Amino acid sequence: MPIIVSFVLLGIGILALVLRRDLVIKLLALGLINGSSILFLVGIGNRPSARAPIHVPGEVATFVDPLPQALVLSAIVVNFAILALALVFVMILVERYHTTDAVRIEVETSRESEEEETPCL
Amino acid sequence: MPLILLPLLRFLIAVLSISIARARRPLAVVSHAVDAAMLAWLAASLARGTPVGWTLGSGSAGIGISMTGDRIGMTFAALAWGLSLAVNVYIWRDRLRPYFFLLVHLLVGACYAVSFTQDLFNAYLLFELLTLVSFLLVGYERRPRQIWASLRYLILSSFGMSVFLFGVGIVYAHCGTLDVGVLRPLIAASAGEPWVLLAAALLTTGIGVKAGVFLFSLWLPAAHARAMPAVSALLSGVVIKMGVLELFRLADVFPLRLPLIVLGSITGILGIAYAVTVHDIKKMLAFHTLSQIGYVLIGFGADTPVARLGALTYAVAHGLFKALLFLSAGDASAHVGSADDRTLTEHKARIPRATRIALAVGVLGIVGLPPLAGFDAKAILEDGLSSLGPRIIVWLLSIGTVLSFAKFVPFLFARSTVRAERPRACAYAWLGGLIVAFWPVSVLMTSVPLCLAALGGMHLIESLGSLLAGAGLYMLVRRRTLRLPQAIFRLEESPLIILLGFFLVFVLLFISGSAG
Amino acid sequence: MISRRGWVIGSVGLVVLFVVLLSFTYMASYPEPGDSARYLAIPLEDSGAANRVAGIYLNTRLFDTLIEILVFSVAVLGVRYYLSHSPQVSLPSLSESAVVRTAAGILGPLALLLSAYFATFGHISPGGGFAAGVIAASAVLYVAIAQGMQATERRLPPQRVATAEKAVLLFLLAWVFLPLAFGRAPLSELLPRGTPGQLLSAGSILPYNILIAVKVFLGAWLVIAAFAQHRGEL
Repeated sequence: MPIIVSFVLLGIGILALVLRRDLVIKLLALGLINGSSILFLVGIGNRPSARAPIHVPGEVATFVDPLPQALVLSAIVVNFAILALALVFVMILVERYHTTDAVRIEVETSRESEEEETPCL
Repeated sequence: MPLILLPLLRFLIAVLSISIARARRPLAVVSHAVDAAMLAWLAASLARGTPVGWTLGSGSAGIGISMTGDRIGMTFAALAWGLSLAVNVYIWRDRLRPYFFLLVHLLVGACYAVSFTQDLFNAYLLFELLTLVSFLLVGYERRPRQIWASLRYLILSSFGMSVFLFGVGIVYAHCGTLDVGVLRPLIAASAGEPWVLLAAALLTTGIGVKAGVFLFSLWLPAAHARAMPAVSALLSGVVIKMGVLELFRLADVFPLRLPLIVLGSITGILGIAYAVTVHDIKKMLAFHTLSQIGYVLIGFGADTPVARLGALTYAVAHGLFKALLFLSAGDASAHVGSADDRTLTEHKARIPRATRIALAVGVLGIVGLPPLAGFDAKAILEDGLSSLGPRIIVWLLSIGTVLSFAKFVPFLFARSTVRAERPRACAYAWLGGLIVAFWPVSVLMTSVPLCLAALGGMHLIESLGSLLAGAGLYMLVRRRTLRLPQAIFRLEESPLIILLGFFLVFVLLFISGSAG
Repeated sequence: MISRRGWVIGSVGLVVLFVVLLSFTYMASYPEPGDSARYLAIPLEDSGAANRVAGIYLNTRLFDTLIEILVFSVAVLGVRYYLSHSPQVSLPSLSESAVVRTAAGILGPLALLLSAYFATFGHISPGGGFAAGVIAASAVLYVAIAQGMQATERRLPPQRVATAEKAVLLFLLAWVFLPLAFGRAPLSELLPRGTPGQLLSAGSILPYNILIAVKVFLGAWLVIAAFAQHRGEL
């Protein structure tokens, strides 16, 4: 069940990435796509009526698969790093062009000729 | 043990470069020397027939991370070493912050690790590291076009890697391991099941975004064209090859023959088509990277050992001449002030002589003039292709390459008024020398009989024929303009085209599964 | 060329087809729980950590964690590089509401305590170095809201924090270097495995967790401080 939800979230994320023109919304959509892949991984490790993979001395229990959770820890940190840097770049572009509209930024960057480019910031 | 020391030492030197700012240049020299020693030792073990391995994690195979110093890995690690040496020499006198050196060292270390790693999730993390570092390198000069291009790169790459992660999850759920070597028999045992098709399609789509396959890597022309020349050389020369390498490792596990051939053909033909139409030489070189990756994919899809070796040799050769072309084209456009080939022809006296010679060597290499690098590799590749379809495509690509590079010819011959700086000339000499004297390198990589066959008469006739045909076509189409859709490279369309590519791969896998 | 409406319908159709294909193919060959039991079967004495997940990412797959730390460090360095070119701004206070400032002053130390718990008990209960580091950085953010950014920056000057971060990164690299390169190395056997479930168990995993927590805290705080310094707002 969480697996189907992760597929649907992936679809919603892709649609938002494509259909919305605002750069910040695009980054949120990217975050949603990343989150859906993380949900998928955690859902893969699920076992029926199992507990968290932590040994309590004196108890014997079935555990969920610990590997996807370890993978997901790394994936979350990496996604955080990517979103942070993407936000910094969006901030730079917004300061330069005074708009968050991706289509307008595309038009503005192709209009400026290469010789007259000055560094942002 | 040296397998893990290669990336670890590079990471250590990267962090030291930014902690002790003064030592960054000597540290670069030391790192190259140490890496050369370790690579030589690894190559010697490979030649003796016992490739070096390294595992982290205990117990049975399939737990933990393992690395192997096999032929594919050694090839690309050596390529990474050679190109990073050239780039470090090129930027020797430029005023660059320690942060830049940190990024380059991390990039090379990650390339070493990707070359050897056999674990799928480890490859995912290393690719994310490569993405971040490439993104920061492209945006280093903080110009708006670079920032916009690298932002698009980051978004599409992160999307592609999430799709890759879906594939990794499916593979793990069914097989319980992430190690490519352990996966191979497990997947072969359940070939044809729906989940294998789905996982293969997702993994290929994810890696295709990084590997320079046309439908997936639509960010590539803008990002590689607008970056600094040294950065473009590294990205086109090495980082793209890392994606191709991972595609090869996947092709060993999943039945990716037909998708590779079809994707390779599409990439090659569309790459050439776009390359012919642009006038910005850096953008043209970026489109060319896409089309040359097409060669490599076709070679690997053909699945005969000779074709594989040819594809590997071509990947190395392409890394060399693409890096040389980017370095010299960047230098030339810096001297003239524009990257448009018509402006370059107008002001051709301002291009230094060393740069022009470097450009000439690069162009001759890429069009396949015997006996330079491109000719050797293409010949070995063609020897391995048995069916007619791929052969025709490879011929078309050769002619197309000549056609698109013909526009370089006008500004290659002139009397220069400027001299090139010494570091740049040394970098050109290193790369150019390797291209011209490529025959010994290809003998090292393949074997003497193959290389002798490559110099055979049929190949000489083919290459000269394609040179003439390409030159003739250029004369014909010089005045015409071709309009190709430029909208597919925008951020709105690219994810949808990636999805279309996924469907294509899925359908191809289905066809080849039910036919074979 | 294509109208906006056609564009929307086309993309929705394509994505719906994609999701349906994924779901049906996945459901058609549903994996058995027994297919992936290798990592569950690792004996407890291998890492000595009662928290199986910590035993995996700090012992069996240590290389992945190293790359993840490098990714995080590169991100911090990148943010500082780009923001260092933007002009510095100073704000009188981060929040104008007295309620927010008082509440933040109470919550800050509590969050810091929670972060210390996660870092030191990460190997025997849920938690771990990364979560601990991020919680610590937000705890210091609460303190900054309560006391004001200037006072916090006097106690944690950004230059010193940056140097400390690089030093911790070098130390961490050195500490993981030996186990990665040489397998069981003397330095990693420095701390005994102990009995799982005790605080002093699991070998090097406890110091790794603490080091990672410190590193992530310093890095995340640098990012927050950079935004506050150069943009004037968070």
